[in-house]
Amino acid sequence: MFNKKIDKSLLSGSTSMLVLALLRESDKYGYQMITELALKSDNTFELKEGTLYPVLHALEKDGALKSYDKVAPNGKTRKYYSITKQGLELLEEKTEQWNTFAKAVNSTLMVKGTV
Amino acid sequence: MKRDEYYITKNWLDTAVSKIRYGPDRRRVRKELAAHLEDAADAYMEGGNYSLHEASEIALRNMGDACELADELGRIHKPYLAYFCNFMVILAVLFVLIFGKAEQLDINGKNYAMKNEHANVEMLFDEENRLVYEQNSAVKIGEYDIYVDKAAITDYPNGSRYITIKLNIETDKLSYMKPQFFRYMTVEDEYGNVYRLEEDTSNIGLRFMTNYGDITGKSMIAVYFDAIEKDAVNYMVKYDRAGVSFELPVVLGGK
Repeated sequence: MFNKKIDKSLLSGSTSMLVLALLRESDKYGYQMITELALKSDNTFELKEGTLYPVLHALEKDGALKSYDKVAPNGKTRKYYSITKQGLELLEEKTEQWNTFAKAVNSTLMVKGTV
Repeated sequence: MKRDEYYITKNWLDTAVSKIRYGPDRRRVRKELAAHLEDAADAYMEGGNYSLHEASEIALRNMGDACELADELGRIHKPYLAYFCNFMVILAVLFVLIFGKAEQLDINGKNYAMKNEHANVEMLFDEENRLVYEQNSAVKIGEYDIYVDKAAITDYPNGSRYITIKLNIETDKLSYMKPQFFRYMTVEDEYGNVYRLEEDTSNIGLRFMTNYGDITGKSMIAVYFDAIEKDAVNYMVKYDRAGVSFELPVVLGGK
């Protein structure tokens, strides 16, 4: 039977790109990102939720994100992340890499006649 | 019961942050992860009629393995920068201690021990802005007692407020002391605002921007500051120099 959930290793390399893409829309906190990611991908991107935080912290350390405390709609203070100019540039770069990669993979699969 | 201290999550959180070696970082990350677990458990309770216990278990399962997460977080949160900052603070403290001691010996050969005895002073002002105050006790600095001598509040049309506090030391004059480096006297009000005071020295003692014309033969320390919170009435005058250190809480009454 076809399993909609994708191989974890395919997702791990692109998590930071997905996070940056989510934050390009608006500032968000961790749990909010997880729920939106699941919603937008129709539950295709269901990663172990804890793995989001090393990604966020690494991006923040590299200057792609900034964080601040803010009261969330549920009335509790949450750590929000926002994308920086550097983060937008990184997202553009990663998107370009992804498109090149996807195109190459698709071409190869087409040649083999498997798609 | 605090949700993040719930027994199921506590161990998981402790493990997840166990490899972050710098304490403040560790606490920040722990708080963030605890908030995530709390949000997730709330969502499961609302959406699936789970108990808190069940919802917390599901939230933890979805977070993944705490040990793996600990390894990743430990790799990102290197303590070196934090340790470097702490090292610089220690160096600065050592510098202050060393030079503070040298300066201490310059003060007329007297040895000023550090004391932290406080004085509580209630001050009230009359309509002409003259001070009426009530003094409770003196600040002990070494062998000397310091008393609040005078204080005044002046409000200017541009909205700025100036406060001057004069403290008298009942002792012989202090000798001239050349400042070795800047260490400002500060005043902190009840809102947590810290005001830096300008500093002056003279051969009649230590003064801090005193604008008194009635300089007597007695040594004195006076402070002068502005741009304060209009509504603040509680101030903490802090002084730390030349081996002399004190904190003086002052209450200023309304006019």
